[in-house]
Amino acid sequence: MKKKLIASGAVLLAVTLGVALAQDKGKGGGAPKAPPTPGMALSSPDFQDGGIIPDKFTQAAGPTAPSPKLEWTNVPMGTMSFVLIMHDPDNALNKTPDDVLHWMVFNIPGTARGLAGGLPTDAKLPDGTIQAKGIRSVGYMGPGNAAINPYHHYTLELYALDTVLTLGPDATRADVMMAITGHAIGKAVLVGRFKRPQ
Amino acid sequence: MLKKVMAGSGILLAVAFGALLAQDKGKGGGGGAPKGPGLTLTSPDLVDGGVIPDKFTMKAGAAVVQPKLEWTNVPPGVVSFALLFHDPDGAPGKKVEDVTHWMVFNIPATATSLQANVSTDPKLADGTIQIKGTRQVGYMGPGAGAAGPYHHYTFELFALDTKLDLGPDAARADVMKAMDGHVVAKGVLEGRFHQ
Repeated sequence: MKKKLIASGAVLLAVTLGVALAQDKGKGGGAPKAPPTPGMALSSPDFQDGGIIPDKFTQAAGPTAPSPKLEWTNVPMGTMSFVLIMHDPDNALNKTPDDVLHWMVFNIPGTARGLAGGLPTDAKLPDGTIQAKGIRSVGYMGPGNAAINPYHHYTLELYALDTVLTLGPDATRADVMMAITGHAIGKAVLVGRFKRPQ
Repeated sequence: MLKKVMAGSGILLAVAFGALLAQDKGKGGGGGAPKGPGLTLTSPDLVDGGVIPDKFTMKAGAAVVQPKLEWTNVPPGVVSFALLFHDPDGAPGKKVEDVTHWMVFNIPATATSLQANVSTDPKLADGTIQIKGTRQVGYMGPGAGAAGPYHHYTFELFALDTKLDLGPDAARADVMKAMDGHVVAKGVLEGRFHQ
């Protein structure tokens, strides 16, 4: 038991060291100079970046479709928590520049390197993760764009923060964005497109 | 000459009628059943969701060109368009506002495209205004580093029921604020790139 603990400690140390080496000094300024190391990367084994989100993760499968599995790498050093936002920029909500919020999760532990598929839709998860209300419900709301429309661009944005947010499940998107400001030390994006089958 | 003008108005009328039929009542709520397709933004130079060719990026250096953009299914009542081209894959200064690659507003309502290589003047002959992005006035090509993942360069076209009372010295936040309450439709095109 003790040996196992020491072994996992060593792995943790190695991972931390790896992250430290992989930190992204080039990101954040839009500077033309190539970053020496890769920036944080967000991916899903369930769909391709820029590709089509399979029906099973969308409202085509009903209102309680499961969330896709998400994974991330190259986490910046000093990350205390993550925020994940999924939104559909192809809409203008009530004529405002605000788009449709499909999912908002924050205080994901800094040690996390992904979110399990079919994440429970509870407002508070056992590891401290908080899910706030999107445009319709707490937890993941699958893409629902009508077949007649062009593809919408469901955008998953992962922020790495140097802090933990002191907000509860009643926080709005604006609250979270304001709380993030000054603390976003890394960001990664994954886009999947969708419209309903004819 | 008069004949030509009249023919031109006829086409304009037909286009306006088409737009009326194609109006998208379902958009904006994310839920309801639309009556027609939503505002659609495309480029003959890019595949939606695909990789942006090098010639439109910083990899082309000084020879960089801006891709042509086209749009259809314009709803009725549009008075002007605004276009924002941004890279969400960064948090400059640890903040939420991402990198602005290009921002244009007061594009005339009659426009259905932006030609390739729009001039980098802050004021264009047709009334279109270009503001300074993160670095410059006019189009700034994608430049994500080779070591990182693909960035998601996003063109967002806003159809507005007004013209914006702003000049070329406006900031992106000013434009977003001025558009509040006036966005009648939106169209998005996304291309990925890293060097």
